[in-house]
Parts: sequence; C-alpha cells; structure tokens
Amino acid sequence: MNAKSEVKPFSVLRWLNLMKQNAYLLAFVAIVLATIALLPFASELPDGLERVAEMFGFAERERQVYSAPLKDYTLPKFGGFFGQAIAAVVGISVTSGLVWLLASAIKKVKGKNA
Amino acid sequence: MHIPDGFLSTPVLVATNAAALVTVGFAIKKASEELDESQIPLMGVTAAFIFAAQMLNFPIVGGTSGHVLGGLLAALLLGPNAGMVVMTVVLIVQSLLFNDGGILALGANIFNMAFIGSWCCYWVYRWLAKISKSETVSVAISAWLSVVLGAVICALELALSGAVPLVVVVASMAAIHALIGIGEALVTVAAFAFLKRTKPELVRG
Repeated sequence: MNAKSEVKPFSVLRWLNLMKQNAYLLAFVAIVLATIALLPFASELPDGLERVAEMFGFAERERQVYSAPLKDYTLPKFGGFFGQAIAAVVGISVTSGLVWLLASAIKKVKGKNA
Repeated sequence: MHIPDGFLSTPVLVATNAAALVTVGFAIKKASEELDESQIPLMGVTAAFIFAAQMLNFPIVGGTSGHVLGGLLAALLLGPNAGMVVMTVVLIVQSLLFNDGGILALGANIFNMAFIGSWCCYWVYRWLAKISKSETVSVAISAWLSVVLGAVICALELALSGAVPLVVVVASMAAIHALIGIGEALVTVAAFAFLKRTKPELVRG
C-alpha cells in the first residue's frame, strides 16, 4: 500500500472536521438526527383539514389519482420506525437538494443576463 | 392543511393552479434578481428544516393534530421570494414522493401555504414590525396568521368547490388552525431568535 491509503476520505473524524468548518452541513445533520429522534413522538391523529373533512362529511370526496412511492411517509412493506426514518432522510435530502439545484440554476440564468 | 385530490372542483383547481403558476413564476423571477450565491446553502438548510418540521405533528385538542408550516420563517431568513420558492419545492416533494397533498390540488396547496402563508404574511410582518416596534411580537403574530389565513383560504376553496357550506368550514378551519398557529408562532419565534443570536449575518428580518 502507498502513503495515499492513509487518507480515509469517509472517516468519522474527517466528517466531524468538515462539520466543524461548515455550519450548514452541521445544521443539516442536526436536522436529520433531530427528526429521527422526534419521529416516535409525532402525533398520528388526523390534522386540522382531515378532522374538518370527517366532521362535515366530505372526507369521502378524496380520490387518489396518483400513488406516490413513499406514501404516508413510510416505505412500502417496511413500515414502523425504520421505514419512517428512511422516508424522513429521503424527504429531507431530496427537498434540500432540489432547492439547492433550483437556486443554483436561477443564479446561473441571472449571471447570463447580467 | 394539505388538500388531497378529490376535494376541489374543476373550476377551483384551474383557478388555483393558474394562481400558483403566476405567483411562483413571479417569485422565481424576483428571487433570481436578488439571489446571492452565499444564500444558496441557507436555502438548502431552510428547506431541510421545513420538510422535517412538517413531518412532526403535535396533538392539539379534540383528537386533532397539526404541524409547523415554516413559511414565515423561510421568508424571514431568505426574503419573501426565495422563501416562497423553498415552500413550493417542499410542497412538490411532499405531493410527488409522499402523497401528502394531491397532485391536481398542488396549485391550491402552493397558493395557500407558499403564496399566502409565506409571501403575503412576510409583508404583514414588515408592516407589523414598523407599527409595533417589537420584532418578537411581529414575528409571533404574522407566524400565527400565516397558518390561520392559509386555513381560511383553504376553507374558501372547499366551499367554492361545493364540498361543504361556507360558514361552517371557515369557522371550523379557523378555530382549529388558531390553535395550531400558536405552535407555529412559538417555533418561528424560537428559531428566529436562535439564528439571530448564533448567526446574525444570516437573518434578513
């Protein structure tokens, strides 16, 4: 093995160091961990609109025209805490990543016009 | 208050999707003029926070739950235009990946929670901050209002769709969301104060 193998790009220490330098990465990781920790305490009760729809009898109007891959924030056939935790990580990452891409694209368009 | 498919009538769907297209288009255009490269990571983290917060329902009275929307917080951190863009992306992902909010009703949900709840309530905040002199009170009231106003507009859309009589749906949606809005106000004030203390350069106000 040569000297390069001593550098472990994905070592825990390297990640901790990166997080110390980058407050955004730290915040992102904190948000993911806090969400997973809080998931077991999240309420399963119907939300405000679902409640009103039940109360006034228009809940049965609901028509599902499309079936999402992670319906109800859990994995298909793999529910429970782990399914929810994976759905949360996917949702947080995809949303954050899309916003990043969109913001960068908007910025580029602006750069072209300027 | 994510509206599923089937609740709204075709005319209301057409009108709300058109309204969402116009307002989101405007927000993207304005955001592209204002956006600074250094804001992009904050936009990503704000989106992560809002998606996460919307997954965590808290119980209120009467066997009902609610969750933080985060629209006002997004506008406070990023400005109303970039804030509305972030809210829109959150709602699109929720609908397409998680069936939370219908895809035909996506325009209505964007109009209620991104345009009304984020963009419009930001200007309410600015006006309150000017007349009240207390930033915290202004943040609390406008965060509360972002939930209640979004719920009232949602109720109007349901009544216009013929799903339910106007008075009962407006009254019940407003009453329930007046309670959920207290949670929104607490979280928004706390998050805003925390960021102002730790990273004052990020907070636009």
